[in-house]
Amino acid sequence: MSSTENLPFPVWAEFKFEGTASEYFMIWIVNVLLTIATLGIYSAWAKVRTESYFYGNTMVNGSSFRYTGEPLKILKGRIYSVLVFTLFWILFNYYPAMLIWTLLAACLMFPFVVVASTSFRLRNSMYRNIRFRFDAGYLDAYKTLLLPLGLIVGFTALVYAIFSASDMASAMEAIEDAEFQREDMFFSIFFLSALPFIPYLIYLLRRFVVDHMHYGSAQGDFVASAWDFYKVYLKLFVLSFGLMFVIGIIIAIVGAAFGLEELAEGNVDSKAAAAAMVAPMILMVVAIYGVGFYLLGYLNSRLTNITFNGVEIGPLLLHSTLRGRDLGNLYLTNTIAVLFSLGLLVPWAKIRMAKYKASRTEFLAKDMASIESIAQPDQSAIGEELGDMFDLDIGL
Amino acid sequence: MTLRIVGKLYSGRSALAEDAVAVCSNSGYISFESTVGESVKFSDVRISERVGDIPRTMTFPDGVMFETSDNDQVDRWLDQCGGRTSWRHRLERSASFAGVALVVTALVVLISAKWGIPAFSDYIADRLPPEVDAVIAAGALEALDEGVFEPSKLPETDQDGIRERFQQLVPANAKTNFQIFFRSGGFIGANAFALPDGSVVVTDELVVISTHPDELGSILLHEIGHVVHRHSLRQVIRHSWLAVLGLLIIGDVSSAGTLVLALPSVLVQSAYSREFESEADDYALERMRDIGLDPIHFATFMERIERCAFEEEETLPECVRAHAEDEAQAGTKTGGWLKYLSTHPANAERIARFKTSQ
Repeated sequence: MSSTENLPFPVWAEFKFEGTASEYFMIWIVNVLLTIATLGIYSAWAKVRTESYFYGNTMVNGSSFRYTGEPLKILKGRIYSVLVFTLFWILFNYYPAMLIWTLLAACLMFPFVVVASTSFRLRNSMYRNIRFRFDAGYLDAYKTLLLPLGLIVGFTALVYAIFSASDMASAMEAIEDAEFQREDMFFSIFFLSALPFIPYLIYLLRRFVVDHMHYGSAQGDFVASAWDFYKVYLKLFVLSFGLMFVIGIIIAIVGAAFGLEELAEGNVDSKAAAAAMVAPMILMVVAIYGVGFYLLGYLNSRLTNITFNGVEIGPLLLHSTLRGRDLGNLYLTNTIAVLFSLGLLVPWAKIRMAKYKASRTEFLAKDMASIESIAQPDQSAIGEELGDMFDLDIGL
Repeated sequence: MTLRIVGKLYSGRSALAEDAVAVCSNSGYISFESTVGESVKFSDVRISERVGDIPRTMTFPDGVMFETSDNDQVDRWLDQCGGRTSWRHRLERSASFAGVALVVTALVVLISAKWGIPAFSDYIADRLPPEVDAVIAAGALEALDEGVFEPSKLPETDQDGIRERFQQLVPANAKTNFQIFFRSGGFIGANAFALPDGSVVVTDELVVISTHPDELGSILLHEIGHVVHRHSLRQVIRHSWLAVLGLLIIGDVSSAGTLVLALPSVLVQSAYSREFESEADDYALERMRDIGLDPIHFATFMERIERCAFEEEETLPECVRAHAEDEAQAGTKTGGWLKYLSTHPANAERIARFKTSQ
């Protein structure tokens, strides 16, 4: 068959999402009913229909994406994941003595889940009759993640050793008498020492996924740098502190307006004092959630932009221009809508998000003819479902 | 009748697209207008199931794929030549089915939350051995000692007296090893609670504000009631099923889903814990009648706890005295909004039960 693409290359095309909330609502409600009626078994078929709907409505350059996951495999994956998840849940909640081992097991499982989940998702993604795929082995994942994890552990041990040997530790022990325990400090130190490595870890994960990703015969290449990720997190850090400071001041003012002094003077019974307690508290919760959505919007938009703009799959490039405040608006309004509609607006919220993301993503193809299809082995869905269960957002 | 379907062909060898028109005969054969090739029977073509209005794909035995947005035309052809159309899609397109699905789902959720989950969970709990209670309790007191409590400052003699009283109140045929622990309450103030293995923890503050031994006894009976009725275990099982029900509705475990579930599950959970509180009250009331304690002690003690629970150690006696004076003058008032925020059943109602059952 001789192929003739209408457009001359290179092609610069925008992504479009063509699904509608009303259409998806009908698919969703049928999925919900059949899932409940079959005690969850239909959820695997429901997932395929949902994914198919979102893939199929995502169009670029005149063609749509296709999801080819098989329900039976997903069902099998779900059953295994539920078992593993339940095991971890029990260990975490009822065997506190084994906490360290449980955490270690979870850490060791993480690279496996990343590989298995990414493989399944990519292998079942198709565009123009050519499959995506992921060629990393489990060992590759362990090798990639061992270095940063080793760094974190090593750095923590170093900081902890310095702390233990210092005058500060003995000074703190003296002041806080029986209450102070060295082990308590260990977790704080671990958290603080791990923090500077988190952007690097995320960078490595994304590079790992993109570098091993294929579209037919074209291989992915990640051209973003770790510094790009650090810049985002540094700005997030500054933004968070600034906003928390502002919120703190506002709450103090509101508290004063409602008569916080009265509370301080011990008039606990007065109604004004109760209001002084409750009003700033409500305000604080609202503010933290509100600000949280926008901070999350900032973070997710930048991470997606850096990642997408750093992707090169042979002759194909992506370009993403998500904006933090847009995502923040969407998170906030979607959450309010979903909460107050008792979940009925979930389909509407998901469609809005997909539409926005597609509208801010573009695609450049220098050439399409050189991309050829390649035969590939089958992939089980266990990792994908485990990834879902543990709420890991690994995909792009 | 021969049908024409406009779409695109993808060879599968490269990512290039080619405009094409499929010609579908009513005897079930398909071929393409522009290309020279054999007709293929529809049963040899993998035709994707219709989902909403997303483009349909037809994959041929040689790996070539035809993609078309003309869903209706594809369905018409399948109808004509006896192929299967999707029953799911027919359900998903029917407004009346969506209405029925909505009502049925809402009913199933309400009925499960109100009766199904409690009944089923209690059925499971009844069949679990007592060792499970011990597993749930394991490490809980140690964790609380580390995070919340300070060692008790009550004199040994007082502790021994209450310990003795507690052992008298423990049900005679109990298989559980009931034990009482004393702790300084810290920020949780005057309170008592039970762990599923039979450990009952009483804070110093609670002991200090009790003015009659039977007041403390009534609260201890309430806590014993929690253990006897295995409320912790039943709560764990109920909450787990509630989470499962939530996941079934949301469909996937995505992060958007978990937030949606938060509000309704908090409401249902607090309804369950109100049920447990009144079950423990029932137990306390019944035992008090059996032993011959005056139920009024529970009522008066609850009123005082409500007022003085979070006083500082130094001001506790002062609060108790002030409460007694106010009591002598008039009845107490309970805040309206507290009623809804409290995890306990509206305390006024609980207190009233014990007052009227003298």
